[in-house]
Amino acid sequence: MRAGGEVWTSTPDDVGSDRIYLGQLGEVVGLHHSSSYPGGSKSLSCTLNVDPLFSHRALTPGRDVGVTVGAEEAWLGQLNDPVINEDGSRAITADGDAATAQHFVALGLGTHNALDANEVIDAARLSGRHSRFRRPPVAFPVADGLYAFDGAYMMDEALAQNASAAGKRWRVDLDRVIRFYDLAGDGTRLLFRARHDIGRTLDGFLTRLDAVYLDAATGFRMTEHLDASPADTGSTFYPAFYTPDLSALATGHHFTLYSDGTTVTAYAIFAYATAVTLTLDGLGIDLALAETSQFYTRWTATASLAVGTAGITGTYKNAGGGTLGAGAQEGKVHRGRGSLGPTGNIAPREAVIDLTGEGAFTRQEVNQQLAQYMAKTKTQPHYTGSWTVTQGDLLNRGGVPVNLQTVRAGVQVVVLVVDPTRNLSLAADTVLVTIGETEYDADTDTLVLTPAETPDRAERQPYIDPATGLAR
Amino acid sequence: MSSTLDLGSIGNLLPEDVHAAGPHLLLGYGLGDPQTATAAVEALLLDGERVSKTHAGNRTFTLPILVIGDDRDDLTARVDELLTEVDETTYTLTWTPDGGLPIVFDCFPAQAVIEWDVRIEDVAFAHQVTLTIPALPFGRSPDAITPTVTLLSTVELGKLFTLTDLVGSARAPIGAEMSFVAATDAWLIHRPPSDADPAAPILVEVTAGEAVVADAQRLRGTYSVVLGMQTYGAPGQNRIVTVTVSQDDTTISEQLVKAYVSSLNLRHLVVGNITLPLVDRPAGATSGLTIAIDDSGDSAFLAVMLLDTRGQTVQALSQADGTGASVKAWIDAPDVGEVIGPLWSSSTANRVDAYALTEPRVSGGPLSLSARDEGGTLLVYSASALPNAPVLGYYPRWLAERVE
Repeated sequence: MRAGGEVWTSTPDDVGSDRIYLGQLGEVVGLHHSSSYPGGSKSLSCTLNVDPLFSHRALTPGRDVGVTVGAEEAWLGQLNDPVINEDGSRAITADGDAATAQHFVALGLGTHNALDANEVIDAARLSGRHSRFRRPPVAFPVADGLYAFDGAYMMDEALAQNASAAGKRWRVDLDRVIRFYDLAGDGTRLLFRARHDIGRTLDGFLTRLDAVYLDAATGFRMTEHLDASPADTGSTFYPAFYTPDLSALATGHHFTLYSDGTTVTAYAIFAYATAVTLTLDGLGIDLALAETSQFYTRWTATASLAVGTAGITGTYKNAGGGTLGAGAQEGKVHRGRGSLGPTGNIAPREAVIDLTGEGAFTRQEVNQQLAQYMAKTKTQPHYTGSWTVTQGDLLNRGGVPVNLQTVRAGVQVVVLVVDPTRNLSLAADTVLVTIGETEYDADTDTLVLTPAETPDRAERQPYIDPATGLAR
Repeated sequence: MSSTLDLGSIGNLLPEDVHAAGPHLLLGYGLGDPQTATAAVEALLLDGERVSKTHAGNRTFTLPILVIGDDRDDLTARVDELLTEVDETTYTLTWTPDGGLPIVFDCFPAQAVIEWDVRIEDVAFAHQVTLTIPALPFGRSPDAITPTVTLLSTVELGKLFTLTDLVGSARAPIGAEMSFVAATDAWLIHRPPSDADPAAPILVEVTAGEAVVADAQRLRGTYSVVLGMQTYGAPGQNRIVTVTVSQDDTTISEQLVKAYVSSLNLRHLVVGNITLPLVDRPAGATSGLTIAIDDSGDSAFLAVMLLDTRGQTVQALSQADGTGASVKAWIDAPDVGEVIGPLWSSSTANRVDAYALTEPRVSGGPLSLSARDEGGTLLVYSASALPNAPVLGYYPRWLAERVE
């Protein structure tokens, strides 16, 4: 019997009424379906063998399309207009839920903030324009950005912005709930017994980032730069991801913490030159001022911090111990993302971003942009190429083969790299790869896995006006 | 007695009287072979490849036939009759070897090549016609059989049955007639794959929001987790159900989360897919699972079903006859050219009162059986009334010639 799930179409309503299986109309062959991360279900194609004059409401464009595997859906989307082949068979194609989000303008209901994912999803649902999508009971955090008004984005762009602001990626799950997941994946981890080389690249890794911008005061074309933090002086490099801290807007000051397990480093974008100590409240850790530049201050201490802990408050103090600044400043500890392996020092890699098309900026604003862009660089090995797997190649953590039809993009794959130069023994390092795209072929029962891309540095970043604390 | 090859309404292509008017099969005929599609997987460290079969493609009959007529006009008529027969959307070819059992092949429109020779036509009143006939890969018995369905266990509103007295070396689609002790709003039928352990615990009772699965080492594969609902409280409410599966004596667990809307029609809640066991065990070891169910609303659950994604599953979620209840249901075997047959539901015991299911959920292709499923299981779960043993029927299929 041929593998592959059952393809059906139904009325595009909330309950999926009038479900009709294409297999009841004729033979379905050549089934392919794909998924992406971020996004979700991406595309589907198959051929329905019927007579040339065949006509049925199940083939009406715009109907919902799904693939059922077991008792669960493995793919969901919307039907395109079937094409009649020479022999009368129908070439069936469908856009996945992720793709259909590209066709809807993001509109806010109440505040008309296109970057409020809660409003955008609710508006699409209530208007009936895209009624099947829902959001989780816990509201998404509201993002702020350069263009937050209705119509500035399509729905997928708005979701990407929202997720990006939270350091996440968005995906439409198979219950049609839009959820945010970690950049590293949806939490599912599979084991992959590789049979060929895994392409590895340092694309995205930077040690220095320059920005070209138009100065708000003079209108002149200016440049600024930011070095990667923490500075790489050793044989390993512990990068961190940065999430803009929006919690201390009232004071206009905030700091960001990094930790490599033995050293804590804080960057305060807005210089507070007279401060001598940045005390992390309640933790007994005092960070000393290590560097002052025109645009930021850097504080360090030899200490350990538990990664992933949020809501750490700190107080700037002067030499006499008195506090400085109004209110507490809040930060979040970010985790080290691992090393690039025992490869020795990393050579400098630099890039330039062009902000001249985004309007005029002050130096402080540019440095904030630099910090956000730098945080998007992927400072761990990035994997390239695609791998084709067959049944039995992908295992769950317990070593049991997984049904390939049920694997979606967003899973993490632990790759056992076989190095042919080592007498076919397993190589020393285990590689963890987030899958950005899957494509399943029912005829051959194979699955193509493509590693996820690095977060796009050029994504429009949320930006806060330091004077007003409002989105600019 | 000699072998016969009956072509639809044309009759035997191997008549005993070689001079009789009509078609005569010539030397060089071929009954074809199923075209096996395979996938080869390179071994990780050793030479050679693992080859697995994905499916069998159609076979092709090649039949050189000499058509003899009583006169020239009769020859024309007989050739035309032959070509008309093999131009039908579907027809049958029945092969009965000498001393053997008849086996029926379902055929599709043929390619016919006529050898034109005026001397043979005018003198011997004969034409040679070579037919190339595509057919389904496996022939079938002309008569249907009814396997024995024996109750194995009952869990709440679900029953597991054992299937015996199965015949046929190739997989054949089956028809099923299902009935219930009282009217039911929804039902589900699942046939695990033929290599599944018949003792695998795929239907487990839920007590106080938890199901304890013994002998879980028999579960091996990717399963859809389906909850049989007891109550759902108020309808129209957005809810989240979280199912946590833990393997005993390990720290490994996996969680499935599903958002749903409580509804009158929601009787089986599909939560998601999970690959089991979470941690593999060697042969002879035993393992247990604990499945904890947490619902954000006031839904209550009766049972957990673990449906192998490689098996066949049919779910009926509502009926079209207006009463919303089913006393009997039918799953018809698909016709030639279909992948899934019609699904019917009736509020009476009569098929003529039935309507097509409007909200079915079907996966894994049609329900199918072969002799390799001997001793396998069949799961039937109902929303509100216990199911009776289903009555199954099918035409056994054979890889080559019919054995019994």
